[in-house]
Amino acid sequence: MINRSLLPFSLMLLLSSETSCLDCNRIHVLQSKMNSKSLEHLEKMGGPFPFQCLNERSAFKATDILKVRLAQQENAKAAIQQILQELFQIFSKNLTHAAWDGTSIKEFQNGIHQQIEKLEVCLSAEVEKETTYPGNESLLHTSLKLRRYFQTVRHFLKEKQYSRCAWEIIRLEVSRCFLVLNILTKRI
Amino acid sequence: MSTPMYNCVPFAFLFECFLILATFSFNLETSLINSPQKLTMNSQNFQHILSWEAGNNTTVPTYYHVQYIALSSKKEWKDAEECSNTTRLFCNLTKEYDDYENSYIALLKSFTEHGVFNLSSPDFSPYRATYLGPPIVNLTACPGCINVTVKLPAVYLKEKSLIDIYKKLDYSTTVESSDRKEKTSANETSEECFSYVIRSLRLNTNYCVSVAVTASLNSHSIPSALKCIITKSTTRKGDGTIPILSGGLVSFVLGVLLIGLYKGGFICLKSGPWPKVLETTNTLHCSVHVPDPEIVCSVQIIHKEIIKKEWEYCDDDDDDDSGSDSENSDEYTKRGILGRIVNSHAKSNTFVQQSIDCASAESSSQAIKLLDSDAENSEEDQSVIKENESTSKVLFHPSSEVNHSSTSDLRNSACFNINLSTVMLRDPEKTWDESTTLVTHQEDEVDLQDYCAFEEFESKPFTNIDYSKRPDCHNSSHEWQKPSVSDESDTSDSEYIRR
Repeated sequence: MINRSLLPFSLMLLLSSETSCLDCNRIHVLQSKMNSKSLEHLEKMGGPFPFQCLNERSAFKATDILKVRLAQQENAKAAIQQILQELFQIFSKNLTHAAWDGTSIKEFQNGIHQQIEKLEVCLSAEVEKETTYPGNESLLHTSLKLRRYFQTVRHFLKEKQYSRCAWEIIRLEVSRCFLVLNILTKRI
Repeated sequence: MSTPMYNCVPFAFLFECFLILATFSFNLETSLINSPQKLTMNSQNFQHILSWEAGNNTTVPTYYHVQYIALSSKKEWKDAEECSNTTRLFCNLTKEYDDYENSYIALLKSFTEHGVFNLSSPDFSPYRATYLGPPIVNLTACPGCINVTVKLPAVYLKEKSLIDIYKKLDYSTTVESSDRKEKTSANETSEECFSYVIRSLRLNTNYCVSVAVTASLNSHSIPSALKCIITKSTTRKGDGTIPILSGGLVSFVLGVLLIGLYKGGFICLKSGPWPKVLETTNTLHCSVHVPDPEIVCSVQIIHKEIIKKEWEYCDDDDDDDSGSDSENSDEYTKRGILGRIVNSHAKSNTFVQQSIDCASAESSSQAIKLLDSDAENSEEDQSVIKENESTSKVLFHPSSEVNHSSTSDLRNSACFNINLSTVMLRDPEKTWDESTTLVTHQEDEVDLQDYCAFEEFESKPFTNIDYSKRPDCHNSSHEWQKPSVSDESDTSDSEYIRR
C-alpha cells in the first residue's frame, strides 16, 4: 500500500522539483537555447522553397514583423509570450498539405509549448507589476501590432486553404519571427 | 522466302529504337556532364561567394549568369552584377545579399553549346548560415596562466560589425598541451575586443590556444589557428632583485641619516662630563631656599572711628538714594559708602598705631575726645576719606590734613564695639528680615568685597559672602563660604553696614 502511493508521490515531487528549479534570472539563457532548437526543427521540416510558390509571395500582405517597433525590456516577456502562443496556435492547424516531416513538426510543437510553460512561471510574478507600469501604453501598442500580424497570417492560410505554398510562405515568416524572439529574449 | 523478311522487320524496328534511345541517352549524358556541378555557397563573415564546377565537355567556353531572389520580399529575380556572362566559376554575392536577415536563392544559368542549364542553390540566410571568425588572438604568458586577447574579425557589410548584427556572441577556448586537450565555453561577450585569463595551468609548460566565436542563432564558426606559448615560472627568481635592491637602498639611507645625526651632535655615543652649572641640579631638591623668617611685630589695633563723617556720608548718600530711581545707582552708592566706610575703618584699624581702646559703643563723646586727643598726639597718620575720590583708593595723608578735616568730623564720631552676630544686613529695597544676619550676607557686600580686595584690604568678614540671595543680576548662586566673623575687628565695621 505504501509502495502504491509512494510512486506517484515521488513522481509528483520529481516533476514539481523540475518546475520549481527554474531560475527566472537565467530564463533568457534557457529561452535562447530553446529558440535555436525550435528554429532548427522548423528548417528541418521541409526542403528548399519551391519555385512555383515564388509568385504567391505577393499575396501575403502583412507588415514585416522585423519592422514592428518592439517593446522595451519591461514588456519583452509579455511580447515573447504572445508570439509563442500565436505560433503554437498556427502550428496546431491542418498541416497535411504542407507535406512536411511529421517528427520535426511534433518536435517543433513540443518545443514551443515548453517555452510557453517555462516563461509563464516567471511571467506570472510580474503581471501585477506591469499593469501599473507607466510603459503600459507601449505594451498595449506592441500587443496590438503583434495581434494584427498574426491575424493576417491566419487569414492568409485560411484564404489559401492551407495549401502547400501558403504553408511554405508562412514557414518563412515564422523563421523571421524567431529572429524577433531572439532579439526580445536578449532584452530580458 | 517470305518468312525471313517477316523476321527482319521487327528486328530492324527494334534496332532503330535502340539507336534512337542510345543517341538520346548519349545526349542526356553529355548534357548532364556539360552542366555545371556542385553549386556551393562559401560564406564567411558575411562575405558570400557562390562557386561551381564546370561540365566535363568544355570545348566551347561556357558563359554563366547568376540571378538571385530574396524570399521574404515581394521582389523578383535579380541579376548579380559581376556575374553576368562570366566564364569564372564563382560569383561574389556579398553586395547582393545585403539584407542579412532575409533568405536568398541563387540561380546559376550556364550557356553552353548544348543549351541553357539552370541550377539553383538551396535557401540561404546569411544571418544563420555565415561562418563567424576566425577571431584574432594574442597571447601573453604569466605564471601558471595565459592572458588571451581576442579581437573579432571585420564584417563585409557596410558600417557594421559582428556585435552590431548579433548584439552578443559566445566564445569558446580550446587549450591544448602535450598530454591533454580542454575546451571551455559558455562565455559571452558584447565587445569587439576583449581579453580574459586562463588560469590553473602548469608552470613552464607549452600550451596552444584556439578561440572560436558563435552566436545564439548561428552556430557556424571558424576557430582561430592554434597559438602556442610557454607559461612563466614562479615570480620569485626574477623579482628577487627588486626587494634586495630596495632593502640595500633603505639601509644606505638610514646609515647616512644616522651619521648625519651623529655629526650634528644629536646622537651621542659617549656621555661627556656635565657642566658645573648642571651639577647642582642633583642637589637642588635638597637645597631649597629657605627665606629669612619674617619679622612679625605685634601691632595693637586702634579703632578710630570717624563716625560723624561717615554718617554724613551715609546721610548724604541716603538722600541721594532716596532721590534716585535706579536701583543700580543706589546700590553703587551704597557700596561706595560701605567701601569708604570700611576702607577708612580698615585703614584706621591697620595703620593707626596709637591704640585707642574702644571700651563701649555708646560712649561716642568719649570716642570723640579720644580721637581728638589722638589726633593731636598721634604720630601716625590716619586714613582720610576723600569724598570725591574713588573709594577704591584710600590714601595716606599727612596727619595735619587729616586732623583738620577729621577733628571737626570726629566730634560726632563715636567708638563702638559691635557684635557682628547681631548686625543685620538688608537690601534697602526689601523689608527687614531679621533672620538675615551678617552671617548671611546680602548683595551689597558682593561688590564691597571687590572694592576691598582691590586695595589690599583684608576684608575678612567680607571675603566669605553668600551670594545666594542676590536678586536680578546673577542666576547662578555663587557659593561662598560662610563668613567667619572675628569679633574683635569686625564689630565696629558691621556697625556702619547697618542702615
